[in-house]
Amino acid sequence: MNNTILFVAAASLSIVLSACSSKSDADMSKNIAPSSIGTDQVKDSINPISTEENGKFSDLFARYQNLILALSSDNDKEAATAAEEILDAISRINSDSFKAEDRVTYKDIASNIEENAQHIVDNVGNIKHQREHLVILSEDLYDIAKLFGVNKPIYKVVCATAGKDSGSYWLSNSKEIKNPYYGGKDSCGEIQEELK
Amino acid sequence: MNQKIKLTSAIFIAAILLIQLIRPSKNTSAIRGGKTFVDSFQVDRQVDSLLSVSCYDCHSNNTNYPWYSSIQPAGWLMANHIKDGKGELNFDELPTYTIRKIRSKANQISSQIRDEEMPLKSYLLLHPAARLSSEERDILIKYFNSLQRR
Repeated sequence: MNNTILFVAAASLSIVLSACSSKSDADMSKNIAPSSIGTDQVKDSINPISTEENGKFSDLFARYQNLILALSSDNDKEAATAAEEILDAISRINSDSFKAEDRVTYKDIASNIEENAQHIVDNVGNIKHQREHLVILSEDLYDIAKLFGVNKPIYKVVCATAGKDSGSYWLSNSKEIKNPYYGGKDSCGEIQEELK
Repeated sequence: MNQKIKLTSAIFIAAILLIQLIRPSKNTSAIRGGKTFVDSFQVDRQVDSLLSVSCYDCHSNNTNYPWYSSIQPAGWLMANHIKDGKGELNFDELPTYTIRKIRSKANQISSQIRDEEMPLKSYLLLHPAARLSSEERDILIKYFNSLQRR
């Protein structure tokens, strides 16, 4: 009998307390976050980013190509992994050496890439939604390529029926058409521009 | 035994009463929800009224609270929904974004409405008036597509 009273009292108290502290708990867990510093250092040593100006973005473009490959083979999990790597690549690009004007544009593009990539990370199981975010992500990478140049040729491939009403595009490092918006073996896509 | 049940229910009721004291702060503002957006983008009235009924509760600085939001834990759940909703999109902040971000948001809004992901099904259960007909969806999609071409 006494035990039951104690138990119920403790249970109801803990409901109340957890409601009070749930917010600060969440905030705290954000601060202590998974030891990101450690993993970053490991990644850095395996995969150093080039210090040359035009090499700054090569990691970003390589990982974007992984995303294209994942979505064109209907693989939502690999798409999320690739998007996570895009976030990692963005976090390691240092814009301090950019011209002031370019830096402003770059930061605007980078924050947009981060937002859209994060949605792709968060939407395993909803490849349709991942593909919707590829539309904007591709436009952002296109703008980076235009602004800073590329060190390997990249093709802008347009599919008139994908994504937006007016059609959407993606960037490819080969002339072979692998449509990330429809996946499978869909052949919709036409090379509209070569960036080099 | 009878006493045990009595005591348990008394504690339960006490807990329910006690949690009523913890009230989340409300998402309200002196300015009408969406007004900042509507004014700076010169949004037409039809679009604005659809957004008012279906979107602003969770995506602006002003929520139209139903009576049960004063009862916990309903109020807590609602506060969480609004926090998440505003984190993704707040129409009252849209005018402060760069053109790139506005386009990106407009693209996401269009897709979410077209895919009928928004308004959320759970929200529609409690707010049947917020359901968009296919014509209403088209009006909003057309508007947000035009915003992407600005």
